[in-house]
Amino acid sequence: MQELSDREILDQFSKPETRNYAFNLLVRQYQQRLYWHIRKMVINHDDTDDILQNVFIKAFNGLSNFREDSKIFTWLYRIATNECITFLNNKKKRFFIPMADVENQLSQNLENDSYFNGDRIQMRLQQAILTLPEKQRLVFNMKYYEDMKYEDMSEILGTSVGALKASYHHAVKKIEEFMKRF
Amino acid sequence: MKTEDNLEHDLQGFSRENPFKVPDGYFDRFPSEMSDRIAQQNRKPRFTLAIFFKPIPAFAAAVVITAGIIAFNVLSSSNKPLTEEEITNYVYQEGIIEDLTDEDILEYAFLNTSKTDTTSNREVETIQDYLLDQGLDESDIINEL
Repeated sequence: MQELSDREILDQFSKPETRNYAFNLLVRQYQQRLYWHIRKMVINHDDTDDILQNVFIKAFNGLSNFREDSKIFTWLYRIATNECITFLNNKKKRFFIPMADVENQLSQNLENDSYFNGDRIQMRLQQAILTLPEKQRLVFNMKYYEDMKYEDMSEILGTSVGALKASYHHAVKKIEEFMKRF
Repeated sequence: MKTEDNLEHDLQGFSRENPFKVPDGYFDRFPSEMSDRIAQQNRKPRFTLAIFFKPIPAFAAAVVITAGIIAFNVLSSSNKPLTEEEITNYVYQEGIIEDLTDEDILEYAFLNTSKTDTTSNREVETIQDYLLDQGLDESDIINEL
């Protein structure tokens, strides 16, 4: 697949005749990374699909005003992260349930998810991750599964690199504790 | 010794492999589905605040809003009953009180006593006292009541 630089995407997007082409390339370029980022937060495929579409709609509407003080990739991740948090908060409000119960619900969804391919240990690891607070879960997934740089995470989450490292460290400890009881 | 940089390797013995999967062909279909959604969005007329920055539509909108406010005020006020306070103020402001004769006041007192209960008797007595003070004959007053 042809990969374009941020500058090339923005140039093509600014011209009406190549706008759709540029956007299509942008979707192809980032869809998988964003999908997995969202999926690990909301677990269910259909919810992920809805959120991913909203992310790209927002990107399409905002790309003309995109200021190049950050990379398109971190900007898209920031939109996706905010959409995930909004989705989880709405779920909590809609059913009047505390966040801990939302996570229990996600954990149960995982057991019935036909699109979960992992073995028993991987299932347990995912359930351990779901016990983490929302932000710690984001940090853990971004580092552990996506191997993202702390500097990029800092830009996406608006948290200092030091705080992110500490958060990741606490997350690992909690997961280890959870897995020991398994 | 553990350093901040190797913390991510702490979780030993667990696969970093992604345990989730997607429906077959999902990522092949997604870009065209996304293009369809964008095309759909672009076809829908969108109401934006930008209308208020164009002179002619802004003037038309202002006329419609003003007419709406006036119509609302007229319709809502025409059916509203006047309060006793509004009537009293009007009577005093227009000098109507000076045109009223003792008979008018007496008639008012008579109408009120016939309509209301005993709680208004005190008002009637007050009016009677006033009329007596003004030099009217007591028997005339009693006959009228």
